[in-house]
Amino acid sequence: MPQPKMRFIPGVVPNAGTLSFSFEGNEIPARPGETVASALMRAGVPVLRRTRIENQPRGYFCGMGICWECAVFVEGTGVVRSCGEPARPGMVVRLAEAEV
Amino acid sequence: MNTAKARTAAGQADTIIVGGGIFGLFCAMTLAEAGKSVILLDKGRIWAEASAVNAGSLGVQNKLPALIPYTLWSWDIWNTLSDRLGADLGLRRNGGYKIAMTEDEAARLGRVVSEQIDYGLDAQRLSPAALRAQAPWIAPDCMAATWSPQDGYASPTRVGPALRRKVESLGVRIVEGAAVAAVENGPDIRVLTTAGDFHGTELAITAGAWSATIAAMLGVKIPISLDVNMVSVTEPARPTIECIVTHARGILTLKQVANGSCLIGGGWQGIGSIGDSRKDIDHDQLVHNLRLAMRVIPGLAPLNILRSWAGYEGVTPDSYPYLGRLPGHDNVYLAACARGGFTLGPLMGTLLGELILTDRPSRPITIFDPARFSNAAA
Repeated sequence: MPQPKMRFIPGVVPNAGTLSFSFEGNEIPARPGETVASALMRAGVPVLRRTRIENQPRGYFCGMGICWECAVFVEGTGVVRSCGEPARPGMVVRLAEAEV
Repeated sequence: MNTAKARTAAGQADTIIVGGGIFGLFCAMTLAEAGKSVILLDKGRIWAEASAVNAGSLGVQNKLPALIPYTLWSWDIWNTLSDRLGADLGLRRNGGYKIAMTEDEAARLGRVVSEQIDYGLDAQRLSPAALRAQAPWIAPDCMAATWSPQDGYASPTRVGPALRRKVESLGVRIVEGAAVAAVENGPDIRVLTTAGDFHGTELAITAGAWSATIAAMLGVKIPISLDVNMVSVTEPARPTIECIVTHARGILTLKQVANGSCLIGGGWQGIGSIGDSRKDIDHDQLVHNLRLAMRVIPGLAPLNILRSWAGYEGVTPDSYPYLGRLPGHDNVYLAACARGGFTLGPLMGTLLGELILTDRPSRPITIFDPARFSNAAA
């Protein structure tokens, strides 16, 4: 069976060292250039919030910035889509809990 | 029952309804509950246009004074609709604030509310201090406000499927993808569509902004202009705003729905026309819509907008809906184009059904006569 070809994204070099950020107080390892969503998924954190009405789990879904299901709160930035947010060393990430 | 089912399957019914929005579905429900056979046609999917994409406001304060009694009668239907349809409709009646941010707007608010109260609205004027005490999330420089316990909202996303299940359980045949190409009115009505031909004793046109096109197929000119209203939804936030907020100039509606998201509307215009089928966001206009929302409710500022969209709303020259017989046709009826059609739709569809059934709708409909502009149109 033919295997898919790997394509490396410029600036993202596997095994080029790691950084870490905190998510709900836990240290999450990430690679330079990797998104917060990707690092959280690899760390085994699929659920980023629960719906208010039926308490259903929600997390990374469309992967392209449309659905907002992967929203997280980044200290100093606010609520962002984790699928489009590069992981930065030392960033503090929490569950999204915006307030009116 | 089986013969009626066989008839509708063969494209024949007592009443053919064109347009599967809130007017058409309530008309279908009223007729079917009285034992009439009904075929409901839609050019695309039912519940796909104004009924589905509006912001869900069931405001009373934001209606023209003469429409206040009709809005309250429609609320009588909304009040029991969840039980009637056996579904959660996201219906809330927690009241609403109508606000004015300038002196001119405050004067207008005061004038209109007096007239609305004469027509039966339950509302009170709030001093800025009282408003701050009751709703500290509204901007402190708000000049004037009124409060009515009669405002509310429902979820268009939940209402549509529940109505569909109900009318189908009553035996109504829904035909989607049936764009009307021609209508012939002889001894009976023939509606020729892209999904086949349909025959009925009566025709009900409930096609919203498209109603003028259907009426024109019968040689009748009905003036309808088009608004392309924009709506935006924010990310979920901690529940804070327990009621709807409207504006003295009709340029803002806001509510926080059950999942915590805020829906922001107000009739700001997007880009598009029926001819080109476009319904696009006009970002230059949207910015003003969102700035106004943040000016009225400063706490919205940190919230992300998840999505904005636009939808068509058919508008009559006097902003009163059409409801009655099509001029010159005893067996063709029209109900369409209420400003705030989601609020008024249950009543308008029901009255249309009653008109077809008995010729005596339970509420007066003279001011909605579709012939009222026929001199101007001729």
